[in-house]
Amino acid sequence: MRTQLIGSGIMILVCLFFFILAQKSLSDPWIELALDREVNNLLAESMVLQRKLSEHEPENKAEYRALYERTRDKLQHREVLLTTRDAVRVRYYWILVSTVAASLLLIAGLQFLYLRRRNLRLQLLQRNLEKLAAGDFNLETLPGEKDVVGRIGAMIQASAEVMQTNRKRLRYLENLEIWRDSARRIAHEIRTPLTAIRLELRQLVRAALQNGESSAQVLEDKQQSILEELARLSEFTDAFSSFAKLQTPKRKPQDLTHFLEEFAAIYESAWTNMGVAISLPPEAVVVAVDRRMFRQVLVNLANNSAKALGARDGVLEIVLDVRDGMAVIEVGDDGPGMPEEMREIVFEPYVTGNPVGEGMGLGLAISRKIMLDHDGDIELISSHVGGTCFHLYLPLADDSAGLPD
Amino acid sequence: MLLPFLFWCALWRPVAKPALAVSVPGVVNMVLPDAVWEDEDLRRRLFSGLTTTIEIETELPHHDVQARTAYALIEIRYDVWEEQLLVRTFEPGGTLSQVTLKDVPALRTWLRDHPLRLYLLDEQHFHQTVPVKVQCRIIPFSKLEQDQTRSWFANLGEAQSGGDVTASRGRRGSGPETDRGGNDFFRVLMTTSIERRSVITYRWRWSLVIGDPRAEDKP
Repeated sequence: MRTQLIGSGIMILVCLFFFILAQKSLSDPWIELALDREVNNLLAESMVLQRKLSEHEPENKAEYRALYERTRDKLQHREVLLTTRDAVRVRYYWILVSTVAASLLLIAGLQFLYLRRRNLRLQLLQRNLEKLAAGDFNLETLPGEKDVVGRIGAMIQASAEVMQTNRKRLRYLENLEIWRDSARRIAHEIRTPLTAIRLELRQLVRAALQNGESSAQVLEDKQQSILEELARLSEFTDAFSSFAKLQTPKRKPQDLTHFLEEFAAIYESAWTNMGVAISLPPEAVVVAVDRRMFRQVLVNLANNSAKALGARDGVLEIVLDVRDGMAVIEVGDDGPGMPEEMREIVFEPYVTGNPVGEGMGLGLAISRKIMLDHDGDIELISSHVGGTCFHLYLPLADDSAGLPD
Repeated sequence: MLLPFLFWCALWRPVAKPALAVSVPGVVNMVLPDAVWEDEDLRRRLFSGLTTTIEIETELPHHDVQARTAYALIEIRYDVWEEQLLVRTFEPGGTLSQVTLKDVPALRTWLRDHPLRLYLLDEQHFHQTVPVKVQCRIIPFSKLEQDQTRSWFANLGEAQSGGDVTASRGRRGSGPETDRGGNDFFRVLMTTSIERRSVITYRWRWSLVIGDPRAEDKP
């Protein structure tokens, strides 16, 4: 903007300079011609001659006198103009130069306003592009003008609309795929016990028809088998219920260091292939949590880590820290990490990396819901071949009053 | 800055300070120095057909602000028909005198014999030394001539379109309407530019001892 203003200023000065040159070469000769001193000298001489003629022709004296008077008046006017010639010239230049300068300044002012407006509109375009880059499709409206900036703005707007439509479509397709996968898992989870129950019932009927002595033992076995399958079905529906009926946490002030020590002690040998290690600060970290629900979050993460480890052994490391008024619990394992495509959607329901029949993909969704209900959050920090790391955030409680013993 | 200063130094001609006198009953008089009349430019202007005006502004200390400054005026005009100089003087107190003279030497003699009254003293100036400042401005034409020329120029367009004998010269009524705007602009510009301005200015200062019949010139 500054460069453009300097350029405009130089352009104005150059225009003014050439205008003055042109004006001077045009006007000066005309002024000199109009106020030629020789004309004045001739008029003065004619006045003398008129007086002399009146002496030679006394009968025409009055006429010569009248002519003399008129010539004298004319000469007087011309002499006055000649005397004030420089002042007239200076004023003439001033007015012309002022007019041209004012016109040029007006043009420069309009140009400045135009550039300023265009700059503002370009800034708006920049903001819109930044929003688009950030995935925000709520763009600012560009004032409707059909210049280049306006056309670019319209193109960005159209692109944003297309991108938004495509993103919605993609999300819909992704959700659809998740639901299809979920349906497949649900169908499998239901079909497996049903098939088992059906087989058991057939054998039960056959045994009853044979009515043998050993039928009592067979009936007992089949009943046990059917009950196990029904328990499996019940467990499956409980998982859905727990997600659907997730309760509001009953938060109480809790020393997190103490809580995590307890957790490590209880669950140290809960997983055959994974140990638990903790790193805690010396001072108490007080947060308001529902102990049961927060424990569920940790267990979910630990279960996932243990499943991811598979046949090999590993360690679940829990580190507690305090940052910016928040308690940060880092939960990391040394497992194989999760697939890259899962990282973005890992907290969405029915997302799992386990094979069909080994979990519904509700654990992390439930965990996040619990953390959000605690005014905190859960975040996937990293996941690669070296292991997966989550951060759990919990706001610090105001004081330690009301801590349980 | 330096060039205009050097130019001014080259053109500067110091004029000897004239004698200042106090006459009874307390009038400050002055005779213009001869050097004023020897200026070539002034002599040429005297015979230009215009009324050369010599305006003399005198300033003395006074309790009354309006009474501090007094003006005297000499108007000189050469009449070609009569071949004589018409001289009029206006002095403080409303004194007006008029005389016709043959030539410049006669003018100088007359002015020498009739010192110009510059300022009327009153009691507060008597018996003390007062500073006197005089500024003499030579203006090439009179106010009447200025007004006449302005009027002539302002009416030039009307005279042409109205068929003035001297101005028409076959152009009677030929001026298109579109020309009037430009002419008007130029006419206003010209008429407002016709202003009386001093072409030569002299400034003198004295320290005058009042109470003595003769003025004393103290450097």
